[in-house]
Amino acid sequence: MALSISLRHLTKVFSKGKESFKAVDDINLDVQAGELVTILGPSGCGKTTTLRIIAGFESPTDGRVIIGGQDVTDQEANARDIGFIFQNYALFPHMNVFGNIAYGLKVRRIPSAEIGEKVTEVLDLVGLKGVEKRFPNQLSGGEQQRVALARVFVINPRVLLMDEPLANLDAKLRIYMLAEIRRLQKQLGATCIYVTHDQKEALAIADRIVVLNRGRVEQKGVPFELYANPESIFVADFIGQANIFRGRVEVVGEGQMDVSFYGHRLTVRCKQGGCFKRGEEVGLAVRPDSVKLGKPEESMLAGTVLSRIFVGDKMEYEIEADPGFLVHVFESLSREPWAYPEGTKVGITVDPRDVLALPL
Amino acid sequence: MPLTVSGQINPNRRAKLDPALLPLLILLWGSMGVFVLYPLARLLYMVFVVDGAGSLANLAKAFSSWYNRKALVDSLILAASVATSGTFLGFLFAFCVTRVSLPRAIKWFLGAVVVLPFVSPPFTSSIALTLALGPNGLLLKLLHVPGFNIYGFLGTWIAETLTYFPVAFLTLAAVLGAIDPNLEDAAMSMGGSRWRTFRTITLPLSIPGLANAYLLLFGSSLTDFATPLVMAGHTFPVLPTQAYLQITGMYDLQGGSAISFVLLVPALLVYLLQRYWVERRSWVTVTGRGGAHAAARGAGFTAEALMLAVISVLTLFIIFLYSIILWGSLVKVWGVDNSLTLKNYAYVFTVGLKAVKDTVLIAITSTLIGSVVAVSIGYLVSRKEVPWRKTLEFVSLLDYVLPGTVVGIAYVIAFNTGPIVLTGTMSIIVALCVFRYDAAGIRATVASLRQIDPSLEEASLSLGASRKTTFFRVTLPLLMPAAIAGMRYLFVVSMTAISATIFLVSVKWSLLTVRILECVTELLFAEAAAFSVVLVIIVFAAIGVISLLFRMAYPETSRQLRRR
Repeated sequence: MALSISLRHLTKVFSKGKESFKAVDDINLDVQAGELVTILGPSGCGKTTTLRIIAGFESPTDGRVIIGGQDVTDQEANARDIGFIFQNYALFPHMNVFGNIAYGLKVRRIPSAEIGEKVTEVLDLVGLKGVEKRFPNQLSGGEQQRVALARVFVINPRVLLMDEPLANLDAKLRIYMLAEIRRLQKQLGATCIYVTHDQKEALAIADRIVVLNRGRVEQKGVPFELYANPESIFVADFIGQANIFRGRVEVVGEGQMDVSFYGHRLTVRCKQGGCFKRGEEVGLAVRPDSVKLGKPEESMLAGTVLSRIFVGDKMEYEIEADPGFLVHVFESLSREPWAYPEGTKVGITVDPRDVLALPL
Repeated sequence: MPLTVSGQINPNRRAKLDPALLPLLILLWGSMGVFVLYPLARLLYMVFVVDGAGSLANLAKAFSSWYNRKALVDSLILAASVATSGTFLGFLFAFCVTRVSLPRAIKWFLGAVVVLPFVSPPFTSSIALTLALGPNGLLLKLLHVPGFNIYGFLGTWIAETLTYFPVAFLTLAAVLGAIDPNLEDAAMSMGGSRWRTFRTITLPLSIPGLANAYLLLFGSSLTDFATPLVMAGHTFPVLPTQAYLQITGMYDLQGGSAISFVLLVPALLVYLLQRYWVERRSWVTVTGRGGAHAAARGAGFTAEALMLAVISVLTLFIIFLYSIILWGSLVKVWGVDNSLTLKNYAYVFTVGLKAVKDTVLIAITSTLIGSVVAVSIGYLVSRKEVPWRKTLEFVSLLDYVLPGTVVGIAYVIAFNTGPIVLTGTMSIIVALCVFRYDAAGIRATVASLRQIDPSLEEASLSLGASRKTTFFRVTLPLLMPAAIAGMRYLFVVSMTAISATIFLVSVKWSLLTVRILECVTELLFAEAAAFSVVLVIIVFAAIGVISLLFRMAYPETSRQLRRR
């Protein structure tokens, strides 16, 4: 049976001498039973600390951790029935693969005949066979990763916590293991919190994403929602990429508003939370692939191509707009990517429907 | 932050030896030939050649005496006992400092207490134990056990354990500190209790470190000369003191050499075991990123309480012993007339002044020459294609591995007669200190060069710097921490050494440690205590000065080191 996880006002302050640092700042989160939630954020945002508090490796300065309706804040890690996957796997170097996987079973006093069966079974599940006698340093990175997964899956934990489990694997293996982890998690039905700094990983694996910045929750939502409707400049730029322009609110209407932008008026949607006030400065976020290039005289703004990089599926342009700021534009292969060499005068146009107004 | 950051380090990449370094290499080989190989050759000749033919007669003669046979057995028993107790205590201290959550101040205090025996003259614990538990002993009077006899196995064992357990502490603190805390967290998250985690993860991972500490202590105790001389008495003879007494008491150089040779076999065996067996079996690898915040994990309440109780008692005992030394240096006649006086210090700075001056001069000279030798050898063997490289490294560490008594006797044999006569000079003592104690500097240099990617030097060359500029601007600054560590070690041991140097002192050149020994044998304990206090103060001052010079010369490197 999977269990739900709730964090209530979770706060962690690290202090060293007179300096103190709020690594986790009043985090609230509810994870449904069986759900896979990704905590996403740049390094130092408090995501690993949050995970270690849920595991019981750290105790919070303030706030509660509730697993399956039960407050476990004061319980030790070994009483919480969790499985933790470490970034460096933390395989016991003095035990072979069998010893590593059997560890949790021995702690639970499972009879040794049954242990043997379960170890073989779980190795089969993660796609490793006949490596029981080998030691961790005799395995490749991918194999170590699978042993780490097997070691946790074999005790069938109700909560699965993963701290950047794929960070040490190469790109191709990472994509494969991502799918594997998702398959195994669903198969076991465990509730899973997965910490990563890689937005692509988060978008691919998560049922829901929580974006963390400087110890606080920036935004929560399903992956597409976060990509399509970021609520802050930070989220807009961290998930995908975004051009941020400055604009001023001129007219506020019903569910939409007019924003002035270098002599143009754009009518943009208001966020669900409500509109801005008249006269307020706002950030206008536009994805690079929503910006259209064209002839200067037919466009909103004119500019000069500073550089272009062909990355295979698209051309990435860097353009200096005439008012004096940089614009990133991605031209897909279907749209004449080679049309604008460096130094060319081009025009830039954005469709107001692709523009999001965000607080600066 | 590590001092250097690099991807793949290939420590085996070596550059061709440029001709400019050839004179240096010849000089090093020449001096090692004279001061390392030649004395040992003379010693072997003395032991194994009788009337121009190879013979085992000297060995047979030495061990036809039951007393010498007993000394061999006693030496081994003592070494095993000291290694066991010292390793045990060292582990307790190391575990409490690295794994149990204690206030910072207490950890600092424990670390400081543990360092004391390192910078003290070799007799300190013996003198303090005598003052506490010997005839007229303070503790004996307090506890009303007048008939108690501290001399013999018991006293030697306690004194050596106190002297050497810090070695185990440092070894094990490094090992425990390098164990990835994630491993313990992993065991806990799978449901293991703290005690189980300690038993199944922490302890097994420390076993190579424990073996290493055990062997280090075994070797130290086996070759310790000073402590048994004071504490062992006639009922508990050990080899190093027997060799010494044979030579100085009976003027039997041949017999003494033979006894010391027997000491050499187990000492070498222990060294080889440690170097080629234990060091290969280490689980501990320093991984790039460990746990986010390594919190103390401990071993469960009961176990921790027990450990803390033991180390508290031990710490108090050590503080008690050192206070006794300080107090003892300030009273008229210990146990008889306890009124305070400064006359013992007056004695140190009048009668003993020559020894103070000589010792400091010898220590400074040895430190300066020795650190240059150490960095040169370390650099040559790890970065240059030197002919006979392995041999050079082995020979440079040889005198360090061998028992001090053996080296001292070899020097006496070599430089009393024959082509090179140095007896009674300062240079013979300096030479011994340099070639016996440069080992720490060599090892530190080799170890830090292993961390410094040769591509740093290649980068400098490719930017147009000459080899000379590269060495002085890139390599040397990176080697400074190692050189400083080597210098500190050289100075401390040159000040506190006795087992080898005792054979080399003369009317012209005396040493503080030898003066302390003379005071102890004449039962002038107050004067001995005053000498010891002065010596400890000089050593601390010198360490301070060396660190300060380093900080002034390389402010950037030292700041980075402190940040670590």
